[in-house]
Amino acid sequence: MTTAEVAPAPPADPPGGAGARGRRPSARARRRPQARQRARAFYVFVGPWLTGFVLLTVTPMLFALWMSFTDYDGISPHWNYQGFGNYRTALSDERTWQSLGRTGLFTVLGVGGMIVTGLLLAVLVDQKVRGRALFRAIFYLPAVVPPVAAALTFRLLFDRDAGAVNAVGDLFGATPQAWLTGNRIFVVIVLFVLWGSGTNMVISLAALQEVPRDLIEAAQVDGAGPARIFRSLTLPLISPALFFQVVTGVIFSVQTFIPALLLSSAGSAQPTAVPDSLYLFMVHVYTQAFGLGQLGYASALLWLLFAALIAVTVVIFRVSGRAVFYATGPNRSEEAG
Amino acid sequence: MMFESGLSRRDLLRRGALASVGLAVGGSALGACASSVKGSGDKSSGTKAGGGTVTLMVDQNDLINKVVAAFRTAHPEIKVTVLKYDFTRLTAMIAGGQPPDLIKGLGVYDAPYIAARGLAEPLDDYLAKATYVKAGDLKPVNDLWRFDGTTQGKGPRYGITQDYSQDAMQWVNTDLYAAAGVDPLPEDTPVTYADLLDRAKRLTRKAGNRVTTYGLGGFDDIGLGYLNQQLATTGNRLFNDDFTQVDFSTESARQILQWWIDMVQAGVSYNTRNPAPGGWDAPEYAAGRISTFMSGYWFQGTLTDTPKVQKVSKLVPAPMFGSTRVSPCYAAVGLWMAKASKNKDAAWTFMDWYMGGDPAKDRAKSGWGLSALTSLESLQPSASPQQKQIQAVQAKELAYFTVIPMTPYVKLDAFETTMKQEFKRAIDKGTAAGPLSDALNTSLNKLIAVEKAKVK
Repeated sequence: MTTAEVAPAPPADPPGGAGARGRRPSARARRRPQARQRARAFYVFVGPWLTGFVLLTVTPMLFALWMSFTDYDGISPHWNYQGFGNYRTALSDERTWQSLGRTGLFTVLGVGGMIVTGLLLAVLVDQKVRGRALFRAIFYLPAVVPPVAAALTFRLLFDRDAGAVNAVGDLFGATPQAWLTGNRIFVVIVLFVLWGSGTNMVISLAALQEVPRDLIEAAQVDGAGPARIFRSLTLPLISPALFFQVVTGVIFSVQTFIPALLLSSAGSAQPTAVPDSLYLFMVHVYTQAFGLGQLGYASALLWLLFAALIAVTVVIFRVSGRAVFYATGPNRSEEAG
Repeated sequence: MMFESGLSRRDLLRRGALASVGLAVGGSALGACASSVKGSGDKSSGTKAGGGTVTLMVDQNDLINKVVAAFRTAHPEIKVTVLKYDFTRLTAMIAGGQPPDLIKGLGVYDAPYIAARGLAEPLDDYLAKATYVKAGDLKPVNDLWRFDGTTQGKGPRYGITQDYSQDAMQWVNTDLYAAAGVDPLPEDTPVTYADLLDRAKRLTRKAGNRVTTYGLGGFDDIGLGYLNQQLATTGNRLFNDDFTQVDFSTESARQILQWWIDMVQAGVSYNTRNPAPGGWDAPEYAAGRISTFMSGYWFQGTLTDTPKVQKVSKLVPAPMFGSTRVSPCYAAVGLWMAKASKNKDAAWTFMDWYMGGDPAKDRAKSGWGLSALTSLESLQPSASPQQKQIQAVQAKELAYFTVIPMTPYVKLDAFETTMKQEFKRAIDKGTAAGPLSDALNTSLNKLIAVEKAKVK
């Protein structure tokens, strides 16, 4: 039932036109008590969240925006307005662009890898095999391990001299690698991210289970093989779930810095210990804010990142129109007919 | 009820937007006000002596809780609230005009920084009427908390050291030296850094490509303290007279930088290219995997859990780069009082008791640091043969303690972050000491100039 069906029709004009019945009641007065009550309930329920959003998100963002135009550090007796100086410095800083590029690569590899791994695991645990509930639990388990504990454990596993990975490689005669230095540590962090694909598995599994079985059976009757069914039927039908993982994955990947810090220097989490290959954008921001005390410059970097994320999200949504298929409800005109 | 007037969605969003902008502007104005105030706390504190609440920002552990409980017993009229030390939180509290009363700090690096910004209360008047801590009883390490507006080590006192070590000294594992057939470092004379590195190369053991024993520890990353000590032994210093510039281009400084590069390339220690698994390589020494470890008196406390290594460890003097013996402190943990503290008299009551009363005696007896008061030196442990060896070497080393002034304009974290980034870049690219020294001069002098503009 639509609002048009519930709301009463406006009264017919009396003979002589609208002016004949005097002043017309206001829109507010015409609203039925039920609608007013619904609006009141809405604001009551959304009020706490909205208050928190304004106080804890919007206000700090605006304060950070103000800081981005200054060299304010919170502790020194003087601070100066920099105008757009912080933004100009950020855009001309080689390290900003390098860290952004590295973060982009990490996002593509990490998000892509997690979605593919999650989907693969989902397909596997969707099969009717014995103990599949146990397999589902095992594959999901890494997702519930606290990321700090996981990063510290990965650090110990991949240590050159005392790590289990090199110890196993030693058994097969492999040369011990310094996994936590140079470009190899980038591989370690990607593995770290893929290790937590359990969440993606769960989301993809839920989407797979929504695929109508009769469509698959019909495709099988028509002679389609498993690969064709997966490519032409299953993937399009689960594309909204995959799209959701892309958007959330990109947003979370861009914010990665705790694993980068801990893999580089476990106990002290020193940004200066992070190798160049792991110097992601948020590590760069963290270094500026808490290593160098440049809160204003770090704020400018974050606002630039925000703008970049908005742009990327717009692009993703535009591209998704061609790749994501949403199931639609019954056509209203058909129902009315 | 708030929506009785029939507030529309548009009105709510409009009013909410105005409120948030107002809060942001008001919040930033408050922040600006706080940051532009130069030490607005009054000297008299305005509170009744001995009463009220004292907020203490220190490392939070069981020990401090016991100390606070003991203080409450002795001074039931003063309540002590303990906050975990966090510089970010401290910055926010200072910006908001509500700093803790007493804050943990490092005398070596924090004292000139906070004093130059007018954040710390001078303590000389309090010391004059103290119950436990007497000015004449303060050892030279407490001069690190003095600052005359330009130079550290002179002028009013802004803090007191709780305990300290001469951190350039070395610990040697005599068993590992014997196993490698290398003469251990002498106890009565310091070696040179070149000799230290040479021995480290002979002490480092490998199994295939994996290192089983490192020859050197405690040098896991370049640091200002190390550079200051090394340069001071050559009779030079890093900073100019007014601490507005560094100079790494002197011959001594370049030789020191080259030593660091050579040490990393020799692979004799955990370093910037090969970080320690736990973030710090001291556990590796305690595990018997490092032959020589740079640390001071306090390090004996960390060895109590590993008696096997403790038994074969000896403390020896700090090495030299030049011909002058210099053995400074790299930390000097202590407390300072916020100038904006609301309860200075009560804060001083706690500080006086903590620095000179029973807690100070317990710290001296524990062996976890040298006492910062001359009168409590006799309480330092010397019962076992090892403790006797440590005390004997330490007693002679005291004569070489010196204050190496730090610039008041830059926080240590910012200075070392810049320095370490340049050093790591040089290691990764194979840059020699010359270009590295030029890069350090450029980056660090730029940083000092930017930070100085916020102080004066």
